[in-house]
Amino acid sequence: MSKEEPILLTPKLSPTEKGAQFFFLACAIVALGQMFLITVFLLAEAGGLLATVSLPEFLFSKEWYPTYRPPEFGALALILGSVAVTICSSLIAAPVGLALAVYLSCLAGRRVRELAKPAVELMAGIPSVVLGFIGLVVVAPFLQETLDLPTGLNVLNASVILAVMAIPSIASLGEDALTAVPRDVQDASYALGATRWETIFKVTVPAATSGLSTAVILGLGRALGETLVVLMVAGGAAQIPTSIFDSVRPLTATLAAEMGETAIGSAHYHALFALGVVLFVLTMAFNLLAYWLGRRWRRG
Amino acid sequence: MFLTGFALKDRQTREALALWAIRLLGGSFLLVMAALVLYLAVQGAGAISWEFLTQFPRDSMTAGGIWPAIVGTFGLAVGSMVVSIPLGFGAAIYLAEYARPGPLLTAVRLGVNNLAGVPSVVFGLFGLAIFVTFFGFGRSLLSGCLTLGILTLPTVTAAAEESLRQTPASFREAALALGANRWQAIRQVVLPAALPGMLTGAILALGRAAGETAPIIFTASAALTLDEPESIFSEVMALPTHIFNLATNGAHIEATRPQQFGTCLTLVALVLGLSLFALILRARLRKGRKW
Amino acid sequence: MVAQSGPIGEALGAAGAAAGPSRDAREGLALAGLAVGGAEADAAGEAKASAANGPKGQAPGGLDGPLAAEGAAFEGPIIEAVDVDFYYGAFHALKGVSLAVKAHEVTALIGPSGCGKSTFLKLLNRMNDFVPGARLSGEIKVAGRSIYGPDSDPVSIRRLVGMVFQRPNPFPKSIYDNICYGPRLTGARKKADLDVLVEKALRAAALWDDVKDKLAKSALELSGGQQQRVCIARALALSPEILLMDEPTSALDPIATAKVEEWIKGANLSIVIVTHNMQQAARVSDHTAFFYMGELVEFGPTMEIFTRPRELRTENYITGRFG
Repeated sequence: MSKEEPILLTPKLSPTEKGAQFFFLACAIVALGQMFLITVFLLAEAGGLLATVSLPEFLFSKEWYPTYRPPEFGALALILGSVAVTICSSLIAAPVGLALAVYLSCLAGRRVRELAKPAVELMAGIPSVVLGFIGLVVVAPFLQETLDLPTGLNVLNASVILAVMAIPSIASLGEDALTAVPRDVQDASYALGATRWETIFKVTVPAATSGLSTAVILGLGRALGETLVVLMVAGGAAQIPTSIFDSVRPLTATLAAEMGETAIGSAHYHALFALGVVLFVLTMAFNLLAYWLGRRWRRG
Repeated sequence: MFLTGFALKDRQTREALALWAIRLLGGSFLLVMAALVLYLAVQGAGAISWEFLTQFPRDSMTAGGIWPAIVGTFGLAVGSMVVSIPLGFGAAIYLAEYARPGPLLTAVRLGVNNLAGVPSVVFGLFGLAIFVTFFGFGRSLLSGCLTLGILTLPTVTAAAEESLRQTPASFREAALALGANRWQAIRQVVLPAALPGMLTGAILALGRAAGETAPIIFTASAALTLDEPESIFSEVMALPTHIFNLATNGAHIEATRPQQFGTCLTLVALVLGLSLFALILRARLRKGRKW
Repeated sequence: MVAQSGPIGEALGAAGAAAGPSRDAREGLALAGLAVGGAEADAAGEAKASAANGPKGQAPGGLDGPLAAEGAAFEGPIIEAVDVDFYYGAFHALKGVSLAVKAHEVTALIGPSGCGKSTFLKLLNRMNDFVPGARLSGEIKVAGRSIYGPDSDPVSIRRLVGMVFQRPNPFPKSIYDNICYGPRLTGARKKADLDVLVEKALRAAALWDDVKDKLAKSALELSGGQQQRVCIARALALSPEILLMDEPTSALDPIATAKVEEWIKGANLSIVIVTHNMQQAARVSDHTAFFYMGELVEFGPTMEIFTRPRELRTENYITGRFG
């Protein structure tokens, strides 16, 4: 005896429901569409540059003289400027941010934590232009005088300010990751005679590694994409840095400084969009890395 | 016996050292942040007065106030929410309530995640290319609001989705079992429970929009306007760009220092005030919530 | 509010006391417009029409009017499943289940975790419709009408077949608004009608005396057992023909459990209850169905299942040899 085919059960939708569902789907598609549009517009506007310089020349020449005749559009110095401040700031931000995360989640008393955690989250919201301003009026003169430099606007200053900006978000995300480590794993370690420090560094931190690295990478992504700080305190010289006291002109600073002064549709305009594409690709790589690590964290 | 005792003592020293190093690093950063805010408060307080907050700049910006910048920032922040709240909440409702696992869901989530990490200056470029140039809105309040709206969209969407997902599935089940259809269950049960959390996320995004500089430099901001904005097609001043202009481009960088500090303090107070409000709201919600 | 609903309150007084509510009390509870005319050919159509007419049907006059004729029209099994197969995607969750449940009885579904008992329960009010990839063959009739037939309307079925869940899940609203949620969906708006309805439903759930002074308070402020009875009252406010209970006491303490069990025994409503707890099944049910690995192994009077099961698998389960 053959049985009838099972029928698929689906919720029946009234016209209102279909309308609602369609509306929300449309919202989601528009949100997704932004990503698509940004990519398309950036690539389209950047593509115009290829009429002037070749891709390898753009990426590997260090001559950025957009207003010369003929202009030169070599982005290497700008890219390396971005890389330099990102790496230097991470050397400060990663240890301090992670220390703050460990302090908040494992060491601080309840009262300190209840005050400090929201304070750190608040600090993550301080507008970057304000931090850049502090770098300009406080850190720069200080560096110039104490270290006897020609200018206080350099890689070091930018890195310090970027670190101050990135530390709260690293600490906040890192604290979440550490707090998510199950209590009983840590209890097991104490029960085996480990001290607090040993438990933190041999059990808690390793268990949260993937979450902590996501926190650091997202912090770095922010430093890489940050504009106002580097625009105000990195010095603005389009050169390949050889020391932390050199001035640099990172990608974001170049965009913000020059976009206002170029004619729409000129070669310079297209070159700036090409810089935008480079920046977009770099931050996208950071994001995907963080997303991938975050997924591993959630699965593990 | 002696050896273990020694090893233990050694361990205790190392323990104490390591823990104090962590406390020192973490604590000193907290102090640095506190000092920073205090410094701004002290330096800025001198510049702030009723006139400063309510008047237009005068005498090459060395005197007068920042009223048009306050108005502009207010307009930009609120306008950006008008763009991102309906769109973000809508997308979040789709993601949390309707979407079934599949390529579309993955694409939307990945897209929104990626959007969140795109540098704000890139949003500025995008806004310049699409709103200012392509749609021909020019450098205007409208272009700025649209750009900031897209910038805050991922934050608003993610917070709203999170809040919706925290509403227990049992609420939906109960409503459906009582004969509600899916949309009724969402509108009458899920949304009222999730809305405060969704709005908290939106307020945090509002603070972020108010403090952004790079996206509005080429889409909305003017160095100086002599009137309040007439329409959404007017250029506007804004607090962040005002600080930037005075501190780097002005003709009287040193002479306008008090104005710079005053504007910084105003902006920080505005942004931190909004965030603090959102954090307190969130804490109270978590405490009051019984599910 | 109490004075206003006087006559009905009195008429339903018996339902308030958990022990032995009369049949009249139960019928008084049934609202006009949701009565079942199983024998008629166009029964499904009529149910739709009556759901649409809900608000008018719920006029106060209908509440205390004699409904016995309509309510008792159907004589056959209240639930009838014929050769039901059910799949979650590729997983074959129910295999050829056939079952007939008598009206006004308590039927317990027992079996080890994952045996399909909850799945079967959720088929009875079409809650599985929301599970992606759910497929069904066979027929399920409630009060003589095929609930998966082409004309059936899941929403009106869910109003006819109430459900109480594993964990108490009152909405984060006032007790009053929780009870009114279902009736309001059908368009009931008049405050006076709703007041009557709330009192009646809370009395029927044996909760009225506990909460009558705090109806405006959030239901989440009640104890777990009271919350679960709010959920029962919320389901009863739609005057369902059948009440489904999915392990309704698994999140409750023993005292609250006893109260809910006592309510079930006295409810005189067709109840289908899924339970992990075999003592509970023995205490509250008239008939018991034992599910194992997606099959209905044995179905019969509870006394027989627990004292002389016909199947070895049933015996092994109730004597605790597995599960």
